[in-house]
Amino acid sequence: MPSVDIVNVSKSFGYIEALNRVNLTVENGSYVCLLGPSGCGKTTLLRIIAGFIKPDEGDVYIDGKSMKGIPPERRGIGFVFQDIALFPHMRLVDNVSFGPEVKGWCYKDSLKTAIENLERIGIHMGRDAYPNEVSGGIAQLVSIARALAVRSRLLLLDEPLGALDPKIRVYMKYKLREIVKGFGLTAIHVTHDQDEALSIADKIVVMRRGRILQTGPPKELYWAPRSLFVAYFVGEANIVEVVARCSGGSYIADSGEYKLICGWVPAPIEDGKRAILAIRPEAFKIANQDMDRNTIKVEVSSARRIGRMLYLGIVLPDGVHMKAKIWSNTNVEPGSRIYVKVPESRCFLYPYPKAGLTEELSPV
Amino acid sequence: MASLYRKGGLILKIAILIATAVFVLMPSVFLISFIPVNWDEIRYEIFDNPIVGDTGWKLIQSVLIFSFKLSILTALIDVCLGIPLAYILAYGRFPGKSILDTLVSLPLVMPTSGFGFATLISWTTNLGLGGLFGLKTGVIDITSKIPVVDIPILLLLVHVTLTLPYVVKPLQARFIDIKPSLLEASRILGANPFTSFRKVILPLSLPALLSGSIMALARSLGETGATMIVSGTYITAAVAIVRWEFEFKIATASFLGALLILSTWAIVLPLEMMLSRKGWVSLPKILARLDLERRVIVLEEVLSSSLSSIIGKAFVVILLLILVVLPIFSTSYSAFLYWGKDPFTGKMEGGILYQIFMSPAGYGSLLSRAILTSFIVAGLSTFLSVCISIPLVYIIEEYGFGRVLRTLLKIPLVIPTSALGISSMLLWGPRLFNIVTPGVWLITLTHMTFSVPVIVESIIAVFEGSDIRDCEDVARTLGAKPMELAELISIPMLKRGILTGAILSFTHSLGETGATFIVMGGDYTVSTLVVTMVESLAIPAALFSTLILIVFSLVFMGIVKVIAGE
Repeated sequence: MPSVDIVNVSKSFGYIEALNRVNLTVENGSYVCLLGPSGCGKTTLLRIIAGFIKPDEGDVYIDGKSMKGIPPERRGIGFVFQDIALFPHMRLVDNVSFGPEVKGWCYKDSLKTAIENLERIGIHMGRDAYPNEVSGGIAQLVSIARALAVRSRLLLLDEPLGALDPKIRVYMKYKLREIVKGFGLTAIHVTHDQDEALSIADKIVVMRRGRILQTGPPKELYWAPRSLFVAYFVGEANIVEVVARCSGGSYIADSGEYKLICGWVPAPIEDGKRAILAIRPEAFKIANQDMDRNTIKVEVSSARRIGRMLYLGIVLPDGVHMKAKIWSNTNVEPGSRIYVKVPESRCFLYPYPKAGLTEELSPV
Repeated sequence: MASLYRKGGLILKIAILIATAVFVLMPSVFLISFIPVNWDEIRYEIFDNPIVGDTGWKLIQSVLIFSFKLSILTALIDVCLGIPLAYILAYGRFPGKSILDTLVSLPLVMPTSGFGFATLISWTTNLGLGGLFGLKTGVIDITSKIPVVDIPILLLLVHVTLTLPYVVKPLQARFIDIKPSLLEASRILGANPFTSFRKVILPLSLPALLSGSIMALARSLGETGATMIVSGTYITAAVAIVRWEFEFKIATASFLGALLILSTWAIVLPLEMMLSRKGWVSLPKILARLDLERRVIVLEEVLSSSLSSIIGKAFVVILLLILVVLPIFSTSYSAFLYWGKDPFTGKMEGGILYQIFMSPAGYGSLLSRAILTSFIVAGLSTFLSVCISIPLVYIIEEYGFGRVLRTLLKIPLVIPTSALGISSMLLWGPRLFNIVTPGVWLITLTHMTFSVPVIVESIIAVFEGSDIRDCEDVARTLGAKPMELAELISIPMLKRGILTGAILSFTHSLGETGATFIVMGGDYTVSTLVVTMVESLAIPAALFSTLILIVFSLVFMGIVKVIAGE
């Protein structure tokens, strides 16, 4: 199981800076997702690891070995493409035996390995079909079998579910993790879909404009986002402009109408300055009365229930609309007034972005 | 009103189909009917002549064999050179790539007789390659030939140069079409660039390669202009038709023409039908089964090294420079030397100035008349063809028989033009319609036969690459009438295809020799004039005319580039 070290990698295409001094370590056996909006440089980074693109600066180390000047065919990496990229002129089994063949294995061994790999991945029939005769999901599974047939232990996945139907995507994303863990692989998976990243990764790397913003396990990214962009891009967040009050080492978000004590303030904010309060919909809880700290009386503008999950639209005292997702049996009617509580640690407070809020949250 | 439009549309469609049948399809098949109808005449002249017996048949056999030998060899060499060239043009990144790209397609617009003469000068005289190496003579002689197959080197060179783009261009387009991820997948699975090419790119582009090489073979089979100049004592079937027609051996010429048309069909049509079904070919894994794969891969590893790829690139670039650029330079250089006087004898009579403007042979007025004729013919046939082609494209795209029609339209492009010429002459002249005699009008009609397919193909390329159908439907829902539709939507959207096609057809017509010789009567075009000048050894005059042709084709090439780049 290999580890990957990316050291100071930069890459520009003409005037566009795709990667700016990126450093990243991927541990043995971990499933890492590179997450970011389109054009953030995540695919470029993946292609640099594979050797399809040469970095302008910096180097990639696989198992501690520098990859400078090593062509893709000698890196021993498995790569899964967004457009699946099965060779259309070969049967499925020939696609899988391609790797062993070009590595100089004898015909029998190549064929045997191909069949073994197909079976391990759950394809027992239709090996002699051509790629255009099978569904996208099957084709992508075959392409994974193809990538693994040469016994590569590092698997790079470039938006592998992008070309598939939504239904198959859900199935495939768990299947992917199962395969990676079952084969004992290290995987680097590029995606712009935060749901996908949150549900399969051991570690998520959030990228934007050629830089890494934050690296950490899904839970950490979700409940401790170090920047407003991460809070907004990973999962959902209600965002509102407030004034920051700083007293005795703890921060309070002051909207004028209500005050919330904020437990997650990654960057220092001066007392009395404009700030942004971010609250995840899941952070809300229904409270009985106004006794607790961080409890606000709100008006329910819409209510929808799916199972035990309540999806509420709430209006805060200052007229700001927010979304809330609450795990509760209590019935709530639209138009009614209820108390909601947000735990301190679930209130995120960020300095007001210098370039403006729209610019900070812009997906590009 | 609406029903009137519908009726008008139907009448227009039928008229266009009839025009296509008469101007394009009939000339290309009419010659075949000559065999059964005039069998007695053919038997008398070819098989059973009271004086010479079956000499005619033996002659026909020998020219046919020679022609096929030449064109098969040409196509094979085209494939060998065309694959690396197309690969470099599709995937390579280096300065001067667009120039290389232009050079490859230059022979497509170059009048072949002019190009043949330019090549002749640069290889067989010391004005070209010979002079470059300090020799008193040329590098090769016009009679030098390749030993075993018995084919003149110069003839082969000219044919390879003129037909190379027919292999390179479709192959290059196909290479670019292949998804880059397929190549990347192959590399990351452990295949070196050369193995990736053999196992992935080549099978995926085999159909393009095959149809390209068949096209090259057909063009070589029908090449007339350059062949008449460089073939020396050898004679190809296409040239034989022209020569025999001049000797009034109409039956022999027609019979040979019909044989050529039939054999071209036999080669091209089945392939065309077969290939258009599937985009790729899957090959049996012979190497792997024999366990030779590993050894081949080791070899390919060496070939994939950066050194050998640089050597390969340099080789094709130099080759192209020698084949395409050298003739242009040696012609210009020779014209410069011959301007005032013959550089060897010092006689003023051997100079271009004297021959063109003062000589009693009147080459100057002949040339200016020929240029005028060429332009009238090219302009007129192109204009008429455009008028037929635009509605024809719609018919092809709309109806089920369109695919068949499109395939049929390729016939005039592949059959030897001299056979087409004799067919046209007989069709419009004495054997059927009897309304046009050789001259400007017959040349125009003949050139339309291949102009229509050329224009139709380039319009279709634009048509299928655009959403013109949707735009027309939108315009119709907004209330546009058919004429407004054509004026405001269709023509502007197809403009690029129409212009490219028109220029290609114009240059094609300008450079056409084989058919023109047969149907021109006394109205020389520039291309045929060059051949006549060379045959009457008026070298300075030929040099000057060739130079004019080269300048024309370079200008047209530039225009095509500008339009394509828009």
